[in-house]
Amino acid sequence: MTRASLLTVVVLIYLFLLAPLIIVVAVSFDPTDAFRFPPSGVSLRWYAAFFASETFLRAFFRVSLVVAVVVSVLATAVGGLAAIGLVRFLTRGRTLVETLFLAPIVVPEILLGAALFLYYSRIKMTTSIAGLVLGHLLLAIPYVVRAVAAGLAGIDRSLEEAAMSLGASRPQAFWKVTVPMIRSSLLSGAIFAFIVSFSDINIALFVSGPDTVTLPVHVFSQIIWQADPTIAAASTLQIVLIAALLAVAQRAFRLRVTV
Amino acid sequence: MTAARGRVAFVLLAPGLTMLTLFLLVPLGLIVVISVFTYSPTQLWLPPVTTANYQKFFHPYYLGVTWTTVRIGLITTLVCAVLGYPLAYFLARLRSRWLGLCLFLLVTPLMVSSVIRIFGWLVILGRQGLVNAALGAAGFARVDLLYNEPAVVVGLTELLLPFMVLPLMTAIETIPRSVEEAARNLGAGSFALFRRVLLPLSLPGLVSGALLVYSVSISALVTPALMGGRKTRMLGNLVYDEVLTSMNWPFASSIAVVLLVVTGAVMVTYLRTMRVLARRVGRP
Amino acid sequence: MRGLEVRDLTRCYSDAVVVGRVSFTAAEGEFVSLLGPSGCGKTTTLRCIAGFETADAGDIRVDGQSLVGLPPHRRDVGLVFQNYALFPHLTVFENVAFGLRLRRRPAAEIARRVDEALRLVDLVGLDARHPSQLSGGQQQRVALARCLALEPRLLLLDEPLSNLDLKLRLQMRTEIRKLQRRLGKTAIYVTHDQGEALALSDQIVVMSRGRVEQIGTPREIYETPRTRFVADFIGASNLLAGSVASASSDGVVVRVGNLSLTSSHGADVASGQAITVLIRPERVRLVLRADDRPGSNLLAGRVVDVVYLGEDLQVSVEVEGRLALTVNLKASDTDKELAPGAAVTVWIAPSDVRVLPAEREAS
Repeated sequence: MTRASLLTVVVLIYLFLLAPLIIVVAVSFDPTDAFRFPPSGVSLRWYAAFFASETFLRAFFRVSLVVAVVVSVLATAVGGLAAIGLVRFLTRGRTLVETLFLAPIVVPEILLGAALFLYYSRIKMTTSIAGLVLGHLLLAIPYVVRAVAAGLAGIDRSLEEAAMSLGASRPQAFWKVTVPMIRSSLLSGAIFAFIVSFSDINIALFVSGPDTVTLPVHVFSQIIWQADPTIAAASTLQIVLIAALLAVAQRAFRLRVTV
Repeated sequence: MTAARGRVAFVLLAPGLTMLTLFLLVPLGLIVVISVFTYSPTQLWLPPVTTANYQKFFHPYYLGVTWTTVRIGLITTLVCAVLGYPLAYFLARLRSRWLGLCLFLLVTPLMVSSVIRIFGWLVILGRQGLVNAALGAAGFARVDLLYNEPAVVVGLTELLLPFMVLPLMTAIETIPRSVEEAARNLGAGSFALFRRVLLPLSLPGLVSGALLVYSVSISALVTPALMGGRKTRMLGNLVYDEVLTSMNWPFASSIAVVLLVVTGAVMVTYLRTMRVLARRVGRP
Repeated sequence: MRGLEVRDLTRCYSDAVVVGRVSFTAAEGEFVSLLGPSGCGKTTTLRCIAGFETADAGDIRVDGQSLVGLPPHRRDVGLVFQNYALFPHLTVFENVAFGLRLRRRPAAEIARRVDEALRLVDLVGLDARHPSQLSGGQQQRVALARCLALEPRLLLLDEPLSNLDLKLRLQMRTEIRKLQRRLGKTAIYVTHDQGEALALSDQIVVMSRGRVEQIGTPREIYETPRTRFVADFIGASNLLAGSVASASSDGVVVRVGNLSLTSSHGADVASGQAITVLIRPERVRLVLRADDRPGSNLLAGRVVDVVYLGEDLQVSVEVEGRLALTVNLKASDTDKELAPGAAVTVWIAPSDVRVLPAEREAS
């Protein structure tokens, strides 16, 4: 295979990968609802429809966005502390605890959703934002723990020791030297927690109720019941939001996503 | 471990551990328990322990769904491997100026909600969609591209391709360029190079990617629900229906347990393979 | 012609000329070194011959056949990499057999040729080991055997010894040369180590900044460098700036500062031309009595510093109050102690004074 043919194949695969997203964005600007590509014109009609739709706005801003922000903050706090405890302070039973924190990745998302749904009904917890937040935390915390643990592992201990030789106490050295250095891990963990929460569909399908409909769930039901390009507009907004966050994460923290 | 360190560790880990116990372990435990209880239309489940729910699995219909799930999982994994290898190789050998952009283009679809990507496919493949519009314009009859198994495979492949590419790319990066050049110098054409050098040396990455893709695809819900139609139902659809529609929670739980065991085993193997790979690369 | 012929090879990256109109030949069985500092284009030249870089212009011919346009896997030239590039997942046997398996040779033939190749590099009995279980020197031999098993027309070696420690390097050096001579293979050897090049080569191609500075035998390169760069790069030198006082076919008289030096070598220079004088430190003599030597090239000097190097003495001498000369003496030759401040007389045989064209300073 020559370099040229490899490049052609790669471009085609990328097109395959990006095709649905490109189409969605294109359709959102088409003035007609005929789902045509290339779009017959440019119009913001469906965006206007989006902003006029009570249900879409609610789903985007009052549910998904709120949940994602809360999840991001909580996951970073809980996950960050856990990572520090795991890497720096825990010596016995470390593998076990580590496994526990990474366990949610091993469980299929729909099972997490179903289990939470049954559990919530057992403990008589009604559908609420809290229920969504807790579910998304399960997805987000492993990301944060992994990012921060990796960041901590990459830090040279001798830097803390240098600080101590210059007069800092151990907690001071930790706070002033190590914590700023894991700042980027924490921030990247926060960004991924946000994205994971905002994009989740599998848990939300089980756990959301009539007044806690997330954007992906609303899109899902709209596709089934009434597919019109407002969905495309809503989707494009989500794509832009997530792409922007990813770009920031990649630029600022030179991220490498490991799955 | 000194007492002071132990205390600090406890404080730091307590919130996370509590959270995971209460909202991961307990709910999953609950599911396992419910799966052996008896179904009751009025009270959802009753204590008499029974294996009826697992036995229900052996009904031809449910076996059929299981077989469909496994089949779709395997085909998706295979297609992802075939499409993913050239892409992974390309990225592994790319100079850093373009790598950032290419990775960004790979990861962004991954992070966008799957419903959105499926919506895009519906537009492309639907009866009134793009492909059919093009066919119609060229004078051909419209074709039903959706609501069948190939459609689900297409949707899942596009969804999960990055999961295959990323570990594979990492694995290929560990192969020094000079080893490839040595193979070429000794007379290897592209296929021989792939078969004799690249494939054996990147196998851990390929296995990792395959495990990941397989385990996510067998637990798919949204893709088959929106693209599969009535004929193509997977275990994920079953769980959803039994939990939210039929309200047969014991049966739903038994399906969930089966899926959990299979996926769990696959994912644990995956994580182990990734750890071996990471050690080779020297990254934590 | 049999052997390698490189003509006007050119390779550019964006604006930089990495290899600029490089030409040289290697007759069949010759050992030719490409010698120069890093960045001079020697490795790029080698990679062009191997096919891993595409030349922008020029021709490369092996046994009369042009290699231009042929992909690397069809060129039948063996390349020994600097980091050996052994296949980590294959045993020593399979590494050496790799090319033979690709060519679908029968198993018996493969076994025989692998065995022969391993014998040639003195590595018998390690067939079943993996590269990670071998030392650096052993890995290098496997890399060599891997190429030799295919009996290529041309052997290319890209600084193969640079990852080895000194003692091993010297040992492997001799072995490579012996092997090459025994097999009669044309070899192109890239190195930045002038000692290596001088010891191993039939011909040396000295390169700098993408261009060929000089091609010659080791002796020619050392004793009659044709440019300042070559003089400076090979061996130690005293390089003095001056101008031509008079020139004839019998010799050249040059003025360095207010000194006069005579060279018995005719050079293609004109009166008044700016030149560089080259005097090798080991050719400078310190004399006791001024009348021991014929008149010209006698200079009065004062010892500035003496460095004891065990076998040699490196003496810095200030001549006629201004010029600094480095003189290498064998410690065993001088029985008197040379101390800083001692007055000495320096004499250089006219045949040891070489005149080179002055070069413009690098921009």
